[in-house]
Amino acid sequence: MREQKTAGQPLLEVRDLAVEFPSASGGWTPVVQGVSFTLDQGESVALVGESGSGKTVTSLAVMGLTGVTGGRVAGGSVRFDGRELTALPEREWRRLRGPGMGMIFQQPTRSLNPAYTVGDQIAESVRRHLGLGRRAAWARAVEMLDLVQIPRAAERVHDYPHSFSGGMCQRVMIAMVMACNPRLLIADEPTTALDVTVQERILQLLRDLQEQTGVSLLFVSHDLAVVAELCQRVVVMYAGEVVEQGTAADVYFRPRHPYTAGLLASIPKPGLRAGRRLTAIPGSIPAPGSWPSGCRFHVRCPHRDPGRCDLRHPEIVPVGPSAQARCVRADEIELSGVTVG
Amino acid sequence: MSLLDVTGVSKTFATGRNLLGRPTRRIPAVQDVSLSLGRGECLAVVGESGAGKSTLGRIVLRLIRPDTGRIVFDGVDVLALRPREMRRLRQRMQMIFQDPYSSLDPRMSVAEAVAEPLLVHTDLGRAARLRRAAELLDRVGIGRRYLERYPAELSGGQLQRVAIARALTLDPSLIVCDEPVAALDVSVRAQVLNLLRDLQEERGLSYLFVSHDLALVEVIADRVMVMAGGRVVEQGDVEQIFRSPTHEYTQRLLSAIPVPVPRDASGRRMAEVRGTP
Repeated sequence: MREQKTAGQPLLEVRDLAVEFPSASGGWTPVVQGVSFTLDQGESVALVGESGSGKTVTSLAVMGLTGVTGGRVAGGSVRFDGRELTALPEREWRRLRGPGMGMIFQQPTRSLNPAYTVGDQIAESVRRHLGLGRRAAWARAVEMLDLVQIPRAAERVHDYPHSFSGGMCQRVMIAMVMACNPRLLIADEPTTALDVTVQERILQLLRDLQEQTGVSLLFVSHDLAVVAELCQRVVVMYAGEVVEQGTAADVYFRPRHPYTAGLLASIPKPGLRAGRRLTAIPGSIPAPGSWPSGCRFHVRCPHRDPGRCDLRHPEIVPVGPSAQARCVRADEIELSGVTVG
Repeated sequence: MSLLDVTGVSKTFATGRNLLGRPTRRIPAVQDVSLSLGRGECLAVVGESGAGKSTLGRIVLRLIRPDTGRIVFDGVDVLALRPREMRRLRQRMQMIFQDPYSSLDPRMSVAEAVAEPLLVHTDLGRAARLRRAAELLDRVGIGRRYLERYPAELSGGQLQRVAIARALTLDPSLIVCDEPVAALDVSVRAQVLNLLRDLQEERGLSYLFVSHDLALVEVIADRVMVMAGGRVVEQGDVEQIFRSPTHEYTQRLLSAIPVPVPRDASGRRMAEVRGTP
């Protein structure tokens, strides 16, 4: 078992993170602002929001990949195991990615090299990151394919990516990342491109892996139904900032921000047939650079109070022992979460 | 009388060639599939990747010719039509694709994209075409200020609305919707499904709605056809499929739909007592 450096200290602590990207006019446009959340050892936390909410930009900043994608971290701090990462030189990053943290993406087939067998790719990764010898690395590759529940791992290790289905490719990606024994696994929409039955199995695999290895999980998704399968805490993002966060029970059963309630209501529920209409959030998320004044959600919000919600940008404040929301009306409005039974 | 009758269509794709140019693998994508679609009705075709559902959608529009079988659209034998006749019939059968980014021409403004079918198929002048495009865009919720914008300036949900407006330009009777909301965020998905549903009611449209996601189908479909390995494994009214699915595969698809109820530390679904603070 791994040792924690300081008891009680979160594994990951993001504080006031700000990320910018070049704008068309030559300046910088803020894309993520004031994002703060923590993730404890062994915990799984979800970053939830629509495209354009800043969830992926936030996760890439945690992985130190902001520069690669053309942006820059403009402020705030990212601490991993007590160590500040925002000013870490690239050489140090290379040592941290792999055994520290690893990431899987939505398109597993695009993340694998078609010219090498999956065994070669996993072995290469552990040789580079863990310094294992040839034979040990190869044995590790077989062991990992077995861990991610690919049948006949010892044979499949010799196969090329094209002979694996989308779901199996995602398992290979997970095997490659987990081979370095990371403490944090970041999964960005890992099941969005997959069939529902395959999605179910990948989510089960992630749960099994957490139980077996104790790896912490940062799960990035637009879909609260998927997130419910494996996350203990949920951070909801909208237009570049956190609008609500809390335990899964807080967020699903007692949402305190109208955006969260809207996301929950958009999920199709069995038995909706009678009305034959889904509840939708009207309008669309504003692009970075055109965020409205006041609450960034007020234009789409059914609970907006003109003269208040459109004027001052609200702070995120505690709304319960484990929950925070960025809504000035949080205490005045009744929102419904999911109901059971 | 039904609008569309498909009887016993099959299609096998040959892939991989050996040195003599002969195919080395034959993939039976659709095998002996029959269906009938009424006017104003929505039939969902559901299944996983490789089930043959998208191929079936393309066969119906004769974008792919089946090896065997018969397709009758509004009394016309579709497979017997000459190219020019087929072109005329195509006005009445349209398609919406999963990825609006690649189905719209990036160099055409939104108004031009929607007006283009009118240029190809009618004698309307430019002003009349653009007026019609503006009306349709207005109906799908794309305001006037977007008319001169280009696809790159629109979000995925907005682009899918534009694709829907374009499909409506020639007043079709049938639209094949191939995973029309699969690439969209959950919240936007609901908007687009509601729009498709409203348009169907207003215009008496028939939909062949291809989807891998059964959760969406309940809202939009009247009947459901479940496909696996190129064959139909079960079909029935949407209520029957959801309430008492008979085929094991359908049951598996239904049970795989994620439920938005979090799990506790032991992995069990939480049961929330209502009324707690």
